[in-house]
Amino acid sequence: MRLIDEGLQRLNSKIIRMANLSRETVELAVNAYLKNEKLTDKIFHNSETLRVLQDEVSEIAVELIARYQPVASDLRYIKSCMEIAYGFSRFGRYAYDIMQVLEVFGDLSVCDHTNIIKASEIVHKMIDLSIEAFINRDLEKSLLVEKMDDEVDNIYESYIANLVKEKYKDLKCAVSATLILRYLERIADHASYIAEAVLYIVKGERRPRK
Amino acid sequence: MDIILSVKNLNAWYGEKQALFDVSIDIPRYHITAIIGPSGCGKTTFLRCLNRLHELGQGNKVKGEVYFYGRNFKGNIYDPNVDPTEIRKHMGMVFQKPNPFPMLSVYDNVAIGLKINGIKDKKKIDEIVMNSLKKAYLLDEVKDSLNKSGASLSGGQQQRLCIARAIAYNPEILLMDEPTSALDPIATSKIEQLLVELKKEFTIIIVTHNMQQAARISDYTAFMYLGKLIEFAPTEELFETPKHELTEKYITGKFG
Amino acid sequence: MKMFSLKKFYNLAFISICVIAFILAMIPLAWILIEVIIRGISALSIELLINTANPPGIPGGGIANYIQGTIILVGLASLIGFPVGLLLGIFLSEYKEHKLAPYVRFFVEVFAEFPAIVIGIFIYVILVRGDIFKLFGVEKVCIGGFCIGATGFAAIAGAISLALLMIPIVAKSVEESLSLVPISIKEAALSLGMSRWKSVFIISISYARSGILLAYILALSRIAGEAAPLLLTVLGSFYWFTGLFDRIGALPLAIFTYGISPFEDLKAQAWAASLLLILAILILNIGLKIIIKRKFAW
Repeated sequence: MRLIDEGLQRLNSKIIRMANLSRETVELAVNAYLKNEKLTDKIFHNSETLRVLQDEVSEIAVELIARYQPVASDLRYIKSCMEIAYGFSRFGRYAYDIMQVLEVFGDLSVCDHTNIIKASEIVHKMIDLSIEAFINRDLEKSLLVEKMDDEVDNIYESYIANLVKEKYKDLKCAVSATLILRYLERIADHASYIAEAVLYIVKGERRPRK
Repeated sequence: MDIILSVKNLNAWYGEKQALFDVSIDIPRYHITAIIGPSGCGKTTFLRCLNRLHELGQGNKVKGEVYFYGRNFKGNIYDPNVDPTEIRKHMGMVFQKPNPFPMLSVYDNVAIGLKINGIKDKKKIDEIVMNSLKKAYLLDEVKDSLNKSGASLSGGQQQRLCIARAIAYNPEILLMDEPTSALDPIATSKIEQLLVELKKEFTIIIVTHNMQQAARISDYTAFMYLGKLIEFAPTEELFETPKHELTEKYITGKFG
Repeated sequence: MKMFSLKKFYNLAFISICVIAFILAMIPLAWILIEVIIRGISALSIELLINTANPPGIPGGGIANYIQGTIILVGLASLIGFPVGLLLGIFLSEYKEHKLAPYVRFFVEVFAEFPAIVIGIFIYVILVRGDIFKLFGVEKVCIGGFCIGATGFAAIAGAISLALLMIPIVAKSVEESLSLVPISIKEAALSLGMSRWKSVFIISISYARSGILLAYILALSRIAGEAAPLLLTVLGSFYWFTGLFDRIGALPLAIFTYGISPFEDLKAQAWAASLLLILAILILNIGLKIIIKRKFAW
């Protein structure tokens, strides 16, 4: 056991805790939205917890850098943890934003949630896969996630395009759906960043930015 | 990359025991190249082959080619027609334990390299000595004790004196064998700053067992293991994303 | 309790034996010194130091010419002995891998143990009687205007025999001093681009300079007191120095000749000469050592 390994363990547990909490929070928020339930307080609480956890991850990372001058795979792992922690905290934030839409717009049970359901299923899958890829350093799974990101983007972009072309039935439904799909698209983006980090940790390479 | 030294298939022995196996590397000019590796990996042997010091040991042998593209010398330093003493004038060496000449004054320590190379003009010698001491960040500290023995200085000052001595006759390459391992952290950091400044005028090759030092000051890093060159890359690359598994294992402390 | 006092007893016994041995060894030495000092001082006078010797039997006279003789002989001997010894010492220390090194070492080691009288006989036969010239069938050898042949009893022969005594002493001490030069210093010199011989003569010698000077002093004090070779090469003289190829006096010779003479005043002069010799050696060894340590040590 190297001296740094104890610190890396701590970092790892924090990240895994964040992963599970943020995945759970996104699921909760989306389901609550679809069922028209207001779980605002709980979601808010989770989101704040995730912010705190992100700060703790940052602190551990900086401590490890200052004390152990990590290099190579250790360094790449620590750097990625800092980036990923930000991503997880964003999940919490977007989950809260989704609840906020419900708060603001009130009853949305009349709206057509098909697109949202389609997108959210993919997003849940992406979150699961990216966390698995990270924990297991699985490059194949991370590639899958990045492909799924395109699907979510398509759903979002085609919904907007449709909205512009055709008339909408209900302003409330149109705007709220736009917002939710936007949040889901951002969550998907962050999930794909997490998947990208796996490549960086394992090989030190980055995907070329589009 | 402007190459100053091109080493091709260098092999070296201590008697029957082989210490270097087919080492080939190109050293870039006006940069700091660090050589890291565990004890016994051959890094000091390699350094001492560059100024043909290794072959002076009883029973030591060297085989291979080292092409030096210098200002006044271009060719293989191991060519049988080459005088090793001439080669050493193009390379200055600084050793692990500071070794100023204790029987000479601080001034004479720096001047002796000039005098034996035929420089006789007192004014010129004076100019060069002062300049070298200044470049070695030592002049301010010794300007009132230039006549004191070279050994009367502190460890860090002695090492800087050795550096001044080595750069006085303007060699093109500075060979440093763990120059700060016998010094305290403050002296170490002064010398590290000095080296980064000196690379504007000299090519520096530094052997160090302190990886963080290599990471701090070098532009290129070579990792050696058991007499072989395992990896050679720009420093940020080697320390962030080493290509070879052995390198990764060594620099993350998984052996070493 | 019994063990403890037994150990104490053994301790005390051992220390007592050492002290007794020391005292026993010191007694003759102290006795000699005391005798020399007492008898020497009573015989010492200004006239003694200024006047030259008188023919035996005539009172008065001094030992001034012997003092001069010793100084000349020792001075000449070191002119030859020191450089040769130095070079040999350098060779032995710095060129160990040379083909001739084992032979030179053997030579020096054997010569160091040579009895002084044998060296005296050697020079007597070769130079004093001139057998080396007879061997080559010539009476003398001339180079330019300078001719040398059988010398007879002569100062030059004495100086040469003393030099031969001196050489191995200097060589061995120089070798020892040079071997103390750390490899780091030699490597520093070499890495500056100094050739091998420059690094030896400029750096190593300079580093070991106090050791080398002390080697010289050691050899000087050794030969200053040698009588045996001088007996066979210069024989002795009552007069001031007249020439390199003439006989010459020396303090050890005077001590010998006067000491066994039947004249009481001459015997007294022998004590005075002994005192002078011992004083000279003491001054050399202690005094000069201090000076060297101050000026040449770093």
